[in-house]
Amino acid sequence: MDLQHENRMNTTHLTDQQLQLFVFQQGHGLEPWTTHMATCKDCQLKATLYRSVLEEVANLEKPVFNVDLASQVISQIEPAKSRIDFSRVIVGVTLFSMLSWLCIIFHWTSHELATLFTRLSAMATYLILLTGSSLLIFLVISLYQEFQGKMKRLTLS
Amino acid sequence: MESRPNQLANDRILVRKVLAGDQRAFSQIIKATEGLVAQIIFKMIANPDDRKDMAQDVYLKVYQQLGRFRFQAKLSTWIGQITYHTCLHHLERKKIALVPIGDSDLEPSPGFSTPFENEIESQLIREELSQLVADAMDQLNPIYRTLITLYHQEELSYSEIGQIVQLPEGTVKSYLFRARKVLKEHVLWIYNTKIG
Ligand SMILES: [Zn+2]
Repeated sequence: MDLQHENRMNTTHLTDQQLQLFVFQQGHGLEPWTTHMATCKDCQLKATLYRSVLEEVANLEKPVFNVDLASQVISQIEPAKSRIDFSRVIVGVTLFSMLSWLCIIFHWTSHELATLFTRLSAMATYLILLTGSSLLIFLVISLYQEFQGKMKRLTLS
Repeated sequence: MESRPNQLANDRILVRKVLAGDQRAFSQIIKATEGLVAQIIFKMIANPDDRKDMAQDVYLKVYQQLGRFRFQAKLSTWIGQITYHTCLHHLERKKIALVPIGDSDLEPSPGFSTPFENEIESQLIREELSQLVADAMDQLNPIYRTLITLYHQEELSYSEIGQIVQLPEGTVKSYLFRARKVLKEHVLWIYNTKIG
């Protein structure tokens, strides 16, 4: 048995983790293994395999999307925005027409309104006010909930 | 390669423009980051039909969440993080196993020959190695494949990979160690199956 071979037998081989550190993190703290690596054919072979395999990984062809991703994504963003604007327009138009309608009714009946409440009994006035305001509150709440629901669906879609 | 402060300043300008409604700026962001997004999606998602939808999903999420981005990382890293977790969620929903069954099945048996053992084999292996490594990468589980790609092909640091996969640097290092070991074993396995 020659001397070099005997020396090699006496030193322990690098573990897998040590080999990786030696190959991929060259620099600090690896000196104790350098001497062994310089002489041990076994460890050199393993290190070469690690180095070559990971070099091949670096050279592998990079994947690409064979479509114009940017314009496809942008085209999906635009309709979402215009759909939100559209729903706002609907709400605006509805509110505007309701207000106009109220104004017209008020204009037509203003001369009779003054006498309307004086002719009614107090009880009847309270009943009308109570029913009217409750209906209005329910209407506003349900409109708001529906609007919120639509907005949520638009944001998620 | 741009320096980090420059990169951050650029990111800030682009994000501000997008938030002000500039869609060309968003298109610029997509073009600058789609390489990284493609790497993650291609490594995580095996079905080619799902990949394009996944990429669109990712960028729609980015667009919706951009207002919440606080520049704690590079914009590309943040987009990488959204991509990785979108893929992870997709795999979980489809009940696709993330951790391979029996990594240890591939431990090389004593009779296995190692590439580069002699000169003739060395010549042979260098020509075939590229295909061998590509095949071995395909056999790796999605997470290992992604980690190896991000470190060895995209040349990201452990810290950046940690931000993308939302794991501590130490965990990334030990996952990568395991991933390289499994990859090497796959290469040996395929090589020995081929040479019979
Ligand atoms: Zn050794």
